[in-house]
Amino acid sequence: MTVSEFEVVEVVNAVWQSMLGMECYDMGPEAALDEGPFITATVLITGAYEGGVTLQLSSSVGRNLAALMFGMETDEVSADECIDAVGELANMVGGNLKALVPQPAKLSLPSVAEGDSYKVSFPGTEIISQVAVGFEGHILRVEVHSRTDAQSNKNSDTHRSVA
Amino acid sequence: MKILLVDDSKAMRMIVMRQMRQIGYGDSDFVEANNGQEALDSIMSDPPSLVLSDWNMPEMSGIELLRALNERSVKIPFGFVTSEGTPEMRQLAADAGARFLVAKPFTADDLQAALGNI
Repeated sequence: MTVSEFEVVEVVNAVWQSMLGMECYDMGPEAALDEGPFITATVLITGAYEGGVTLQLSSSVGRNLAALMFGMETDEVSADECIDAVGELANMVGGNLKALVPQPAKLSLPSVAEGDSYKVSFPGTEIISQVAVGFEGHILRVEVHSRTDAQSNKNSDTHRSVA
Repeated sequence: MKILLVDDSKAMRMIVMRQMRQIGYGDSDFVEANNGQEALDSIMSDPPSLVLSDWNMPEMSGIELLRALNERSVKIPFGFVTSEGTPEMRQLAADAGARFLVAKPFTADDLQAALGNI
């Protein structure tokens, strides 16, 4: 079971176009994020497919996106509103990627982390798709994880430590 | 017209409200609920004319809300606006009596097309 980088970019582009009015494009797997601190939103998928989807971007970019979603100025966006907005973007991206994996599958509520230095891990999973998505001069990193097997001790970090 | 927006994301409630105003519901009275339980309490105390609900929410999901309304014989037009757009979810929604399911991401035109059936 794979979810291709092309499919990830297609899904992100659909969300960004409809919700934010922005075009997205594939920047390859290694394009650098904007300056930190960073915000990472995760949704898990359980059922016939086990894994998860993470979205990571600069917090300042996250605030810009939240401002668009809330229809307010960037400096009016609170920390909670930024977390809410980025979590909802992860929910939409994850929900649409969930439709591409074996069913039945259930989507979790989003979890969001923010800071200068942290690491998010999905023990027992591997990254099956990793892509940097560009939009309006900024970068969003998206990773799709899949559980290897129940007995595996292999860990897969969703991203490098962002120290 | 009173419209209840149910979503655990305030950002999404704002987007749905903005798009509803774009398609001609600007004179409506929008009320909001953060999850299914809040929505159920709101509906039972002051019923709206239309419910637009997310699916996945803490405390009570959208489908649990719809089933709770059915158990109470509350008949209010109910539509989902959710990232759960698989055929299985659409069937579950239809079986529970939802009028439509608009999959996120969506446009104002998508909402208008769905609401045209009400």
